[in-house]
Amino acid sequence: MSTIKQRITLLVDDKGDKKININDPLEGLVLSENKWFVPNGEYERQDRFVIPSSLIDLSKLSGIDKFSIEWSSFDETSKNSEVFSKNIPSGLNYYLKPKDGANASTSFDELFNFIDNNKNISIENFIQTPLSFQYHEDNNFEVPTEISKFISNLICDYDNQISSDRKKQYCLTKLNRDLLSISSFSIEYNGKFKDKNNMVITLYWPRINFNSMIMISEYIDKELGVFSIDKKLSIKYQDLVLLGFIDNLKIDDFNKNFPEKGIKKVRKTMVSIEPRHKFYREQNFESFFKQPNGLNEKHHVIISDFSNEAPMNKEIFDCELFLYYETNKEIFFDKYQLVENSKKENYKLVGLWGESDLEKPVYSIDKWGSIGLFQADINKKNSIEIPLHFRYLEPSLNSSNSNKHFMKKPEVFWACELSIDKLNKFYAEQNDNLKVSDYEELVEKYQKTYSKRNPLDLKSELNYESFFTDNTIFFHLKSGAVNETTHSAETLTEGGYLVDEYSLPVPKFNDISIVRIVTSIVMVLSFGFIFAKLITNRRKMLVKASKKQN
Amino acid sequence: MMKSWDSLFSLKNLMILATLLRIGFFLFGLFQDLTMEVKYTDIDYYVFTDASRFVFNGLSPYERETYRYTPLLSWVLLPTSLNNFDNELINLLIFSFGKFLFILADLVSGYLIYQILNHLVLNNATNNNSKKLDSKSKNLILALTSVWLLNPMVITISTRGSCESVLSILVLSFIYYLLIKKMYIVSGLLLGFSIHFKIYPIIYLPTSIIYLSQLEINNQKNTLSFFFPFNLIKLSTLKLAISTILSLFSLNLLMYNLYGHQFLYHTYLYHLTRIDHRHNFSLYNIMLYFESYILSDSFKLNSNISINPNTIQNFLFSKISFLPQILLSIIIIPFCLNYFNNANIKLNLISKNYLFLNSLFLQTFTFVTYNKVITSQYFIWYIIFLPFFLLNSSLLLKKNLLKSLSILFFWVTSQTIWLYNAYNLEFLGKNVFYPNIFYSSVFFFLVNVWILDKFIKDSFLKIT
Repeated sequence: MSTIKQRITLLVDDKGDKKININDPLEGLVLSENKWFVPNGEYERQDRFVIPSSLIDLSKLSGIDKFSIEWSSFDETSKNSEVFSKNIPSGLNYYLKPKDGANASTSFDELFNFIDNNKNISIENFIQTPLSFQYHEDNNFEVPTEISKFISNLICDYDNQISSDRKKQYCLTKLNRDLLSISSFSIEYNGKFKDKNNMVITLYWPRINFNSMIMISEYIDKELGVFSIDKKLSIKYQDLVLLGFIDNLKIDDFNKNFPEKGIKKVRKTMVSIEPRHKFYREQNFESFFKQPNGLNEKHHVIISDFSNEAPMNKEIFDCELFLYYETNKEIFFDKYQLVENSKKENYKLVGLWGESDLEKPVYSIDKWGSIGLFQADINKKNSIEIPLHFRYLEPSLNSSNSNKHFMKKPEVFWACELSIDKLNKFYAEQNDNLKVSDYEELVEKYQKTYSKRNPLDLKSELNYESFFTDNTIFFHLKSGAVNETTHSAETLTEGGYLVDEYSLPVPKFNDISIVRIVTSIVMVLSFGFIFAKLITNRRKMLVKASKKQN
Repeated sequence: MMKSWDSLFSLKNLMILATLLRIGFFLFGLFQDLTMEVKYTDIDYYVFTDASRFVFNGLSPYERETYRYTPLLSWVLLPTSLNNFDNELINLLIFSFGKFLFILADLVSGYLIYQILNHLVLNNATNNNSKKLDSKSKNLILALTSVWLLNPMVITISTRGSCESVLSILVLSFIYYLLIKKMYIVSGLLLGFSIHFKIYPIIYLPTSIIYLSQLEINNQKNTLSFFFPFNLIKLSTLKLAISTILSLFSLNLLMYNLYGHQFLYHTYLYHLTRIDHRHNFSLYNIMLYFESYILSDSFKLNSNISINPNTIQNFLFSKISFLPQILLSIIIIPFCLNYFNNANIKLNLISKNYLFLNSLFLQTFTFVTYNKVITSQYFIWYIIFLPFFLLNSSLLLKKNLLKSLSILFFWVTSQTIWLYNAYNLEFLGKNVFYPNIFYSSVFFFLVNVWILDKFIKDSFLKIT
């Protein structure tokens, strides 16, 4: 019988609890009585659940090829991980790819029935990118309860298939409590793998006080990894080197190997990974709207240290700086203006998807907003000014409504792609010094690295990562004040959230009465006035003409 | 001194000056586009040229969002798509082909205005047994032609790339063939073409039919031979009406065959159903903003218990706002100024011509004033008739100088007040929808109604 696989990975770092020995994260870690005892302390944590196809009612998802649900907090701490660097864009995202020939609306119904979500959205609210139908919400500053409920029910149901209600309740309580503090999650489903694992749920906590034991379960194959980053080795090998242990144990193995239920000694291992998403610490970016803003504005993005080289060796890699926007429907990009402007500005529009009607007000738009991907050139100028426009908003029903609004900051990153052409050229230039075997080793190293990837990170097949090739490494820039003369990032974010502020004017709906009265009076009286003037002047003229003719 | 001034003040020199001014405005526009934040080129010009690029690539011009015009416009601007040379200056000039075309149309419109004015004045002179125009009349014609040719608003609109001047040529040609050449079929074909280009010239059809029917009444000397509306059916009116319908329908049929429902929707249906919520000069603007929201699903979801969506939706201005506009500009004004079957007077041809042109002017002015959406380009629609209106107007008399200046002052001031508020909204994001924008629109509307009153009075004043 297939079971759910759960991998719990805990990372210790020097910012964490001093009770944990960073040089030996395994100190105090013991396995005993079907349980792992993990030393109490603060960890960075990722949990990954792999749900096999046999445990999913695939008939409920017959029209879906792939789907993915991702959420990430707007808090800057959610973007700090070097190891679990999935880098999910802030907010809640649904990605849906119907099977070929399947109706998008039917697939949508299947998805929302499956996750038991009666959220008031429809396929009309989704936008279509070349990869999928996508829905995004900016206003989910907290973990979306409907999704966390789905996750905990899914896992606790399987975990306790034949267990008591008490155990299920315990599982739900514990998981729900943990889910409250997560910083991001993703649920990924791929219908193509009929005999393999169809669904992967990944949960991430940037810092969690882990003070419990991990039970070996009859229905979930659990795997535990506890690591710390070895900085010296990481520098030496130019990779991220993790020291610690990773081990999995099923209940059968446990009974077989440890009949006496004794203490298992754990063995130290070293894992070298090449993260697909990295943080580029040499540069940061600052973004803002100049205040006061009008209805047609520019979003300013300033990159620090623009004189710096791209993050990876230019001789082998093609590195380009990108800005990825997910804007709410209050904001729209005019693709024609962007294409026209890109002839003389330092950015180029790569793709724009979403609501294309430039005239509609917010309340007439079903789609959630737009996605814009821009390529920027900061060789000569470190500021990028992307023109955008604001739609008219719903009149305010509440007179105390604030006119402050927020736009999610763009993801700003270098995308560096291994270029075989450049590699060949590099080899040709180095021909005298480089042996064929060296070259082959170099190619093999990179290709192996990229195909192997980071075991802690799965490449999304539906989000913006998929606009890039498999050979791409992303170097993310963090948001922060670039220099003293520019706007401070802090003043333009809401409580450290990764958003930029703008304000939009809205009329008060209560004014409709006076507007109606004045408009009607003016319209009726003016009509009567003009009509009367036409008639009286015509009559005067006729009288005058008649007199003259007589 | 006077003589040299007279010799300088010629049509040729006026056209040269008008051309130079347009070139100057055009060059300044290039400079502004290249150096300033706010662009000189009208956003619509980019819409036209983008649509042309789609056509150039074998696609429909309606692939370009917000293209709501006849496909003919995008065809005419096809050369603008050839701007892929290495030389940036050449590309810029090729891209500006449309502007050159609109400037040329502007100048040709000026020439047509001159010709029509010349005809009207000459007819008047002939009526007074004078077969030649004196220098005073000549100067008057040139001065009135200057109202169009040297008008900074007219020049700005064509050099920014707005296509109104193309329509101006069509409308003026329709008048030229109707009044001067008496070629009613050609005139009707041109009117049909105008309506195909933009819907609003349809308001000239009833006026033209009434005008022509009145011409034949005088010839027949039997004013009450038929009752209305049968007394409008004459050979000339049939020629005009049928040729108008023929030209309109054949062009529409051709475009429908090529672009299908896209053409019908974007060129016509959209304009009939649109609710313009974005700020503009119209009296109805803020009302329509509220009503577009009331009609949305979002309103039904968000409205609280104090507002019953069904009650508030029972009466919507957007559904009746066209009524005063249509009644005044299509029915009341044309009949008041042109229909005299039941009146016991005989008007001469000159009076009828004046009344016809004044009627077109008043209709257009009223149509724009009461429109659901008003932008500066719409003023061009009635400015083309202004020289004809002024020809016989008492507003040019010295004794009425103060009145004329006050009309101009209030028209400009009311616009300026509105524009100031619009600037605060558009560029500074200030919440000035109510009361600022609303009452400045009301003020602008009232000023226009007041001006309309003066124009109505003036339209009848010298008619005998």
